[in-house]
Amino acid sequence: MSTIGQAFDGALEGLRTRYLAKLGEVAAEFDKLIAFCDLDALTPEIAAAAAGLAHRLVGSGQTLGFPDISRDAAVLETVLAADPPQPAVIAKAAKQLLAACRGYIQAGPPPVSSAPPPVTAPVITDAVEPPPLAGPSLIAIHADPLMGRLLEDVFASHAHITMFASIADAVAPAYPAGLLIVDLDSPGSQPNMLGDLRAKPGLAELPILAMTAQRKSAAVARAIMGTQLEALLKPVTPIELDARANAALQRRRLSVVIGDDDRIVRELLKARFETQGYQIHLAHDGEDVMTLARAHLPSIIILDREMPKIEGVKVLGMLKADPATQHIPVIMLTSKGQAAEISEGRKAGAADYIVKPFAPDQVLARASQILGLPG
Amino acid sequence: MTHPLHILCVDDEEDIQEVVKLCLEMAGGFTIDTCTGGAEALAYLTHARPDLILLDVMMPGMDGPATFAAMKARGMDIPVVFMTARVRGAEVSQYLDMGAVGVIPKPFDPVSLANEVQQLWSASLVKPPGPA
Repeated sequence: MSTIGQAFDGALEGLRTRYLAKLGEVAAEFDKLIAFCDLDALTPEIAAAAAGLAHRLVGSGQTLGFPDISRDAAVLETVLAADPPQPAVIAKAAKQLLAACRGYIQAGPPPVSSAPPPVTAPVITDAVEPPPLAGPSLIAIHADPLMGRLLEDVFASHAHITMFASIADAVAPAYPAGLLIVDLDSPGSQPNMLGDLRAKPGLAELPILAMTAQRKSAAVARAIMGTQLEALLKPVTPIELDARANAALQRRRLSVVIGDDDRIVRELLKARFETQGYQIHLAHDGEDVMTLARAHLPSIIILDREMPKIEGVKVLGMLKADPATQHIPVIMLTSKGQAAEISEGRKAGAADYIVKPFAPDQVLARASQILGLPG
Repeated sequence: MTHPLHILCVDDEEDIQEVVKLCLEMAGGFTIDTCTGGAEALAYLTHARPDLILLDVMMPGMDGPATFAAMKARGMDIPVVFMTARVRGAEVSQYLDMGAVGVIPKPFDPVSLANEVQQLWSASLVKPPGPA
């Protein structure tokens, strides 16, 4: 199955390289737009053509791996729609988009996001023991006094909380932190800066709980997609904040073995479980699943039914026969949805059965449910 | 279902067409045909019946909603999912009111597109297309 993944990545890489070449042509168009603005010679026709071009870039940029193109083109499209048009504002937005185009052209195509980590690289190590639930430590980034009060009300009595005013200021505290809370509506914490936050030492793998008043699902979806976080829509009640933070901290102590021979499925599930703070162990065949399950005794196991070496149902039988692993709940994945197979899996001790293709969120939701976690 | 899902993607942008084709064929195992505009799609639909149509909203000539209206006028009751950038809540409800089975905002995530399409298609079996 991994050959499909490789072919997919290769083909996507090809599309990205070609898209980059087109960005060069597009850049020339925005150069002209800036010149028209500077000369105060912008006509409705030129503005409409530029808005059409920007609109297309909004829709295609991030899909092809160039998120700044989508973001800056959206700004340009918005300012081009202003009535009356403001050439100086349009020129500024066009320059920003142009800079993004040129930046990507210079950097070359980004790595394909579904690419797997090198085989030898540990995914998440078990080395650092998270703080006990009684005294978890949190990092909060916000510039709103009311938010500060809310955070203190909710957490001060039972958690260590370190606050920063902006993403630029934030650093990992000396003691291990379990959760990052970010107010995406603060001026120093825009969604596009989350990448910078992730690049800081000690903060790369922490689950992020992002609070935002943006109700436009597309904007929130884009933020979640790019940086892997959990969003909490404002207004946030203290009870809700406490529940979500505790669930995230609790999940940080959880681990999952994901066994599937299809790399795309593995990576999809890994990305989803990782955002929730799970420690991840990836297995590509039945033998691997057994080895990792015995070595790590994970909280839950996701098991594909059709796998090389030892097939899923047999692995399930072996897990249930071993006293060390028999208590670990197993969610079976299958591409065949026949009732007979589902009941066969159930009889063999599967906690749940999910039919492919599935939404990663659905698997995560079932896992949370089985483990008795909120949300 | 005895055959892989057969999807028609209508989009004037070659990059989007190709990335959709790639995602749905390789990650989803679906069969994909593409058209670059509304008129071409209507001509295609006289001799083929895909399971679902991914329809771009903003296209030169006949745009997505006009294409959808023309399909309905010709009695073609194939589930339609609109794809559009900068989608707003009001727009989404407008498309759903027209009888679309869903709206996929652009930019979309190439890795999860196949799942999203599969789910919208499954949902369309429960809720027949076309306004009530």
